[in-house]
Amino acid sequence: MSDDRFRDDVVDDEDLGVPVIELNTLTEELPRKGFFGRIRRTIERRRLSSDVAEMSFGGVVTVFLELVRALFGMVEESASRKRQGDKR
Amino acid sequence: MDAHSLQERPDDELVELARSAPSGDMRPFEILVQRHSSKILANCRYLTRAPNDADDLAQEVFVKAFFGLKRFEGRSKFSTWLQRIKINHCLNYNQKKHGKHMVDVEAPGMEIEAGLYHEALGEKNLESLDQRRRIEKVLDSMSDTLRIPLLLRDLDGLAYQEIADQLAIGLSAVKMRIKRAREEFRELYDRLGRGEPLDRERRA
Repeated sequence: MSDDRFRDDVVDDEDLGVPVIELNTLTEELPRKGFFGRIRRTIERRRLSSDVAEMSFGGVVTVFLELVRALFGMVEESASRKRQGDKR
Repeated sequence: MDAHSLQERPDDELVELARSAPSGDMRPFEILVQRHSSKILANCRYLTRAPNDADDLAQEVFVKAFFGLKRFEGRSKFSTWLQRIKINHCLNYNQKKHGKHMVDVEAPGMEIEAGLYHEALGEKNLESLDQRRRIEKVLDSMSDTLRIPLLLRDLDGLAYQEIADQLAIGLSAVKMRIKRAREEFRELYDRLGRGEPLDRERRA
């Protein structure tokens, strides 16, 4: 779209010619049958995949927190045993 | 709320209803699609010159609009906002398509196909084609450089400055292209009306 031949002249609005009103007939064309059904299915599919993506992100966070908690538990238990051993 | 009462509501009210509707209730958005689909479809078809992809492009425009409804602030009309989504989507499609596959009509080997095209046109009785078929043929034979600004102006009714912004070109370039596009359209349209074949070579 960068054709320099079109950049040189400045044209007054009144010199721009008559609008092509015939183009309006193009909007008389109707979409194929089931047009909205296909849109609806696409929207539902994307909603679902977005939900799944959010769920799996939440799942990853939960698992990570559980792991951290388990790790701290193990460390604490080991430290507690060590303290008890030292007392004996 | 029944479908009949929805049909009578203006776009901005339907947008509000679509935004606040429970996720399963698509009726307000469906009315918006019904109302604007013909124009969006025509635009996608003629901006991209891709009749086989026009339906998919138009659907994707509406899907984008649906997920973008939350961000629509109502500062412009819904139709104007939808128009922007459509233009961006179609121009992106054109860029991707041309990046992947650009056919030069003057490339070796293309003469044969061009010859077949003329022959096919000659065999048909062009005078019997209805107006839309004529317009379609004329638009398909015009270069992107002239066709796209013409459609944005005379089909979409965009202001010259908006077209300049969309296409990232100067205002005077837009005006000059529209002037030339109208002249070329008229010439080719009349030529088809007289039953003369179109010169398939793209005009710059």
